[in-house]
Amino acid sequence: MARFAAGKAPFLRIADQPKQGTAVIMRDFMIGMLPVILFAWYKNGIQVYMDGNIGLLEMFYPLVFVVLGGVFSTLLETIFFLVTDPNAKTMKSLKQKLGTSFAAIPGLILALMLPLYTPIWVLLFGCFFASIVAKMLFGGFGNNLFNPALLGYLAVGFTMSGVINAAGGLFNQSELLIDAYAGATPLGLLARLKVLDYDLLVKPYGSLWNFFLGTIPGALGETSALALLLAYIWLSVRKVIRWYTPVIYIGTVFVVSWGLGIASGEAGLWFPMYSILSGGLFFGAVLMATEPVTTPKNPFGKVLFMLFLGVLTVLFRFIGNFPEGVGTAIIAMNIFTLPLDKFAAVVRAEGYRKAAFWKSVAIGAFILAIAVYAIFKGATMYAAFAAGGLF
Amino acid sequence: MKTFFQTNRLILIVSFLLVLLFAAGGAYSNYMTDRITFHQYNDLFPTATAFHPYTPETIADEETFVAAYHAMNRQTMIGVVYVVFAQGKMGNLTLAYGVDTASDKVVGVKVVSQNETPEYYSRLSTAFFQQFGNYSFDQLNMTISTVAGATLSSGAFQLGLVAARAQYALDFDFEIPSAVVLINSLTYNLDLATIVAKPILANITDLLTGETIDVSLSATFDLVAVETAGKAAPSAAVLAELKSTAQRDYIAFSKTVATGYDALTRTLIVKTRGYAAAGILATIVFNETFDSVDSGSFVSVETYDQSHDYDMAFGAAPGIENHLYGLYAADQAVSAVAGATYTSNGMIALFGYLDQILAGNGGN
Repeated sequence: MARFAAGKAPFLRIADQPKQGTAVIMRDFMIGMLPVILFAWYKNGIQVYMDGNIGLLEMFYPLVFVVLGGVFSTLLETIFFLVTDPNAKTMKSLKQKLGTSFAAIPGLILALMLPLYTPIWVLLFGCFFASIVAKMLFGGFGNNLFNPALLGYLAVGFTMSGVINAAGGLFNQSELLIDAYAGATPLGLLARLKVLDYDLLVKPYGSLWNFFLGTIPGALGETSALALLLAYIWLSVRKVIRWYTPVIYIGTVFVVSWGLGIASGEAGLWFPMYSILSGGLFFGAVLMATEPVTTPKNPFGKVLFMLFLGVLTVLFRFIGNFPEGVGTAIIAMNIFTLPLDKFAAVVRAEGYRKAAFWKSVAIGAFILAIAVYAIFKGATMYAAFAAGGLF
Repeated sequence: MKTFFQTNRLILIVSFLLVLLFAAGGAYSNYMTDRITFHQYNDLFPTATAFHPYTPETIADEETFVAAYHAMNRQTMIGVVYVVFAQGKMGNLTLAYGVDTASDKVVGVKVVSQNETPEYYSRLSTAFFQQFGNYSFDQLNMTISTVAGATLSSGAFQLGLVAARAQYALDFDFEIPSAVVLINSLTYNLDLATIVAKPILANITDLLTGETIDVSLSATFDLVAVETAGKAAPSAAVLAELKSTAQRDYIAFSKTVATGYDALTRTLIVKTRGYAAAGILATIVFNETFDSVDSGSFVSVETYDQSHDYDMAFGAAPGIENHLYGLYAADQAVSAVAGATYTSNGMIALFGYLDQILAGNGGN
């Protein structure tokens, strides 16, 4: 049954109430990101310093890097407003515009998605893409089609990965000393070996507990499921995000990965756990797939969106060329946000009439088809490599 | 101009701030990247305070050369680091060799990156890496002890060593030693009376004196005796090179060798290398005319029963050894058993050795 506000006009928007506006949401979002930022600093700076593998000045780099991401995005948006907006020529008007624009967020998120040794100029390049190209050129906050941070990340990934590797890549100085890592992230190792084997994929990094804590190699902010879980709880409690969206996304990846594992002859629960705790799934699910502008607003639309994200992530991750699939899946689904939202709005307003029912069935069948394809295609690839005697 | 600054004051301030942060941040990230080099090679030269990259005037091999660094202790160069590619099993390994320029010795090797299979790569033990400490470039054959089960991975370190020395020779006018001995032939000694004391015979040319002589060698290619009458033993340099060349080119001779012989019972004890370092001890009894074997028994600590690829058809050690000997004794073709390749090859080498002894006595 559809739910609508009853009563007589005028209605007051919650966002216009004191302590309820976008500034508060931004503050809550920043607080939610704190565990992720602090863990990124701890793992890549403080811990490495305590190991005796870097100096004091190097210890602060991860924190400075993330903060600079936010500052760059804010400054770039400021310049954009100053150049293009005749109403933003004073500090007061600028402050007002930046306050409702979430200016720092794209840069902060982008910095957390990048490897530790990303040069600062590459970060600035990414922030430019995120804040100016993906956000401001579309009309600013609320009008962007794609997740800004993600578009910045893809721009950097497609054009600057060689530069980042040449500058040092993603392994911190303690991780570089661990031979068992063999120079690869967990998903990188799977892409290389094509074998579903706990001893090969998990043991080099310790156990799944290490995956949960985040003490495995990866981009600055994406490794710790624990930190992201804290962010998720905070953001859900503060109603900045809907609690069920990350759950559906991660749950779908879990189920489809498990299916892929079973079809490949590896029925252990470790594989779906490995799948959800590797790469940027938690990061994407909590901080990007919940982005209010580029994802559907209606609950049913959100559910469909997350189901699609889940199956596409498994498809891109295990069948595609690149080890990670979260970013590609979210960007791909950003395109379908509007049609999904429209469809969900119709369902919400009119209930499950005959047409909406069959459309829902068709969408569900499409999601299922992708999942089945991912499972069986993936199973063929991994089983074939294992049986073919890789060694 | 004044009006321009007044009109655009805010945008200029913000732009300046952006440029300032960009420059400071850029310097910071450059510093971080420089420090990676320092951390990476610091344990090769613990007293170094910096590593300065340099481009050699001539590069010995463009395909293997990656980078070169001067290891500096303040203003003094104390060594050089060569980073080279070397082919392993799963592609190139990137290896860094530290060389002490005062002594022309390698001080150590460091793996910069590798894509080897973790299960096999992990077999490269600390002892394997320790052999590079104090390794002199001043020897003809740059041999190292490779690791069973990770032969290609460990062999890459030898390839890298040769590449590093070639570059070092160009950069520091280092003279790569030239050959002082030529091995004309190297064979097993099949005379049962001396087979244990002198297991290997070689005909060599001493390039320092120009003489060609016969020598007998131990299983480790050390000189046992000069077999050519009236000739003195070659110099130490010749013997050292003879040993290292034989280890490189004739290593199979050291892996299958007689360790005991009892003429009364016609029993020959042969040690042949399978997978385990202990080797397989074979007790072979010849017939009275020494043209055939009467029996063979084996003491083995091979671990093929732990191999995933072995179906346990012949049980644990010495099941496969007995099976292969049965085939050999019955004059049937002997081929490697899946999952026990090293053991099988060790046995096949043993049968080849026995065949030579039997053939010398008219056997088939």
